[in-house]
Amino acid sequence: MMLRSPKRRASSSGGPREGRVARFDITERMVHWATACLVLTLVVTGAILYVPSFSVLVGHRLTVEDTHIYVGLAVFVPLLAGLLGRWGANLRRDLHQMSRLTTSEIDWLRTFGRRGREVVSKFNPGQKLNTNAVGGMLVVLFATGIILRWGNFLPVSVRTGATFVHDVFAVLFFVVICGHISFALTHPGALRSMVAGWVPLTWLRRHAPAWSVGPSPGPQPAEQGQAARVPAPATDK
Amino acid sequence: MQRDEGKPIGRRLFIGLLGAGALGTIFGSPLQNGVGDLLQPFTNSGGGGLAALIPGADRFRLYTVTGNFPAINEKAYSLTVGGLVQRPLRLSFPDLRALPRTELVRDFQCVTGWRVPAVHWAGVLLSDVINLAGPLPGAQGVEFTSYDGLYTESLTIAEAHRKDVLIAYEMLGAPITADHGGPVRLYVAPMYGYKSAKWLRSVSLVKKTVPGFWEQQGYAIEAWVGNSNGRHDAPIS
Repeated sequence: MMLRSPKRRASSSGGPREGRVARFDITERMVHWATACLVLTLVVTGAILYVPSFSVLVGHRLTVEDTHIYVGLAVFVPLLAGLLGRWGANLRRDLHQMSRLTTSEIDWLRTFGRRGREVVSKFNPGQKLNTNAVGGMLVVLFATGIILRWGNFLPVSVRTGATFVHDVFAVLFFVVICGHISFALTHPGALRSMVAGWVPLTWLRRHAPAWSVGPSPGPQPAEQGQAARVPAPATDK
Repeated sequence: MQRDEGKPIGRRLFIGLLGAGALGTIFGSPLQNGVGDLLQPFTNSGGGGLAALIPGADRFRLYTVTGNFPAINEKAYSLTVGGLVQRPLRLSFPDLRALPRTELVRDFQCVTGWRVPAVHWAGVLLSDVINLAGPLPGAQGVEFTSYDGLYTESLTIAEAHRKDVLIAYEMLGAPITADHGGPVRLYVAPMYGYKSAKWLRSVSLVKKTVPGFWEQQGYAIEAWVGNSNGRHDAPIS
């Protein structure tokens, strides 16, 4: 669906400046950081509940447990709030991109990014898989967490199974999140796009050369209808 | 322009994780038991070590409802026995050790699902202590408090006279550590772990018991393993 085109676009949020490309709009960033806060709380409280030496250090089991449960219940609220409104157009479009990998992207993945850099678009194949992995694991953790807390009516084998799955997925989730954070810290350009919303053109050329900026599925208010012009338009706000 | 639409690998990952979570929940119970058995040589101690952190390991999880794990040394320890008794008592640690010793090997089953198989306990029968104090007519229940200053539990007088209810001072062949409720804790073998109050401070015979700490949070007052709290665990070995 996406058109190959020169490597920049005007921002839909805020005033883009020369040499900057909008990557995440304000909705996407708010959803990301709100979810990040919730997830961080879940990781910390979960670790206290799970690792005996942390339990010993912190105590207050009832408070920690309640915090874990209610923050867990809220974990999808930012995402749903972002997806459901008019403000979620970019978020919906970006998430839509996460589901498919082209043959050359698979090649990129197989060679750990050594081959096929030129095919990488707004999100590299690793980022796509990370999004799906984190999302899938969160859903599983959410569902099994509900079973643990409110599944008294279920057979005990299901509850034991849910405990096991919750434990296993929590450990996997922790590993993936650590990877995500370490990539963010070692890639300041990408991190800045989640903080400030934009990436420099130089970043885009290096990390996302195939990022198309033409129309793509879903509405894109204030996006250019045609392939982007060169150079990027000056700020108009 | 011809585009390589690619494969929905991201979506497959997402859905695959949901599937794995669902399968694990439904069929994970034997797997959990298998992992538990496999790791038992490494986890068969109070502390458990690193192997105990592997999901599925049979291990103690260390709970406290206050901010700390009370550290009481054996010299300073005393157990108060009072309420509706002929002779109120204050028993030191050596006093307890001087009473007839009873040993039990039983599984430790938590109401949240984890179980540690074949734990060796030694201590004094609760009924020996109660009889030493001499219950007055009208004593229907027994209440327990903890040195944590917050935790409470209770039993009926009939339950308190069972031969598998201990005032325990040894666990797994060693003095009970502070993390596990030492130097002296209650051990109610036929009931879920929350009955076995840690850091036992007082035993009080009463006409009518007040629900304990977790029971005020909705746990069953009669905490029989396999027959309470919506659980049907196999009986304790």
